Amino acid sequence: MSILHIIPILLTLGSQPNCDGFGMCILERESETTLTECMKYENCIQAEMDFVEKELVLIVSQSKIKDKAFIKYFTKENFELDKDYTLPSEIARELNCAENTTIPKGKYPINEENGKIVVRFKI
Amino acid sequence: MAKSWCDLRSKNICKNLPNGRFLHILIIFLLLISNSTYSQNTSPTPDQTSRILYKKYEFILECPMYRCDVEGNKLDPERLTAQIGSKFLLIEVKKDTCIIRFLINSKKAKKKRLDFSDDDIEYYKYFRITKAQLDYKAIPSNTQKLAFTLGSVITPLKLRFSPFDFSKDFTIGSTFGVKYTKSDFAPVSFSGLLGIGVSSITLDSFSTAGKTKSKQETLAFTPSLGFMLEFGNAQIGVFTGIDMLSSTNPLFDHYIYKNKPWISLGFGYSIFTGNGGKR
Repeated sequence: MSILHIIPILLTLGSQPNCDGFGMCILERESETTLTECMKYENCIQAEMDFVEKELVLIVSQSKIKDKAFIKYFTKENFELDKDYTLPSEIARELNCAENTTIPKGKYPINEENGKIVVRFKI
Repeated sequence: MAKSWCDLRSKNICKNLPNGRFLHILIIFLLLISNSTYSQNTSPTPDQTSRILYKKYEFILECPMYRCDVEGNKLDPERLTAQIGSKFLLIEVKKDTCIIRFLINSKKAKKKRLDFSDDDIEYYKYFRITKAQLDYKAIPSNTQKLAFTLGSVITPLKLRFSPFDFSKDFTIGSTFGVKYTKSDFAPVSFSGLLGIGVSSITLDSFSTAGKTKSKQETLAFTPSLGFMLEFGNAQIGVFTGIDMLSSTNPLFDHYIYKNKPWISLGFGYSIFTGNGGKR
């Protein structure tokens, strides 16, 4: 059994470049500065992420996610990605995955594991 | 000919019955037995209905709602809009207000253990909608895709091979199996079924390789296997099975389709489906 090493992230949901629609728009490491900025936007969520066995795992707490973002992105069966999303180099390095790791567009099942919302992206 | 069946059972029952009449009585008896058995399971009590059938719902229209706590106290005056297709649990109904929480597929991690850093496990968001919106904009949702199914099937026409023949040797009996429903919205499902039944078999010169000149009817025990497509309560399916004559039948060894499978189209009507949450 492998234990995941999760990093805290801030994820602005929606498609690039305007962060509308469905998908991932901006992914950054959580810090005091980035958190303050993120909290200004309805579609920015506090989450956690890890990469293990060719799967990128997005973990979201219902307590931390804003109501509008929760309803729009996490109340259906699948998390939708309208466009491919390439991980930023800094995040990819922290997660120990390859540079330019890309999550293909598509639908990914949303599950609840131990009370948290979990989406697993196969890379 | 009902002689073989009479040999297996009490001769006192059969001895005074003409062959065809015995067959008819047996078929009517089978129908009555199966119908009465199923009907015992079709009428849940009102209490069972509210607990089992109407716990999970799905929005079919956009629905305005407000964030609340588990008791229904409004936490935020901002109006939110539920997405079409999102599923939820009805937590409580208080007069005209319904407290709900969204349903996310529950999955136990087998290989990868999530090492949570905080203690907010089991935290949920609750929302309130009106009872009128629940009635108009949501439907009971069946998230169970596989279900046990029970029913009866009549196969009125059989295709036999080696040599090819088709006959009206119909089979009537009960079937059971697993039913798969792809979508909660579409009334289409697919079933894999096992069946047991009784067949009426025509024994004549052709089917006994000339061992008998007269045409006679007899009964056979018929296990079968089938696949069925269901539209609402109407069903159509393809079945295959073997008609097994009684070994006491004098023509048992001469029946040319002995241990040879037949193929048939089946038509039926589902009386009871045991999936509990079906709309």
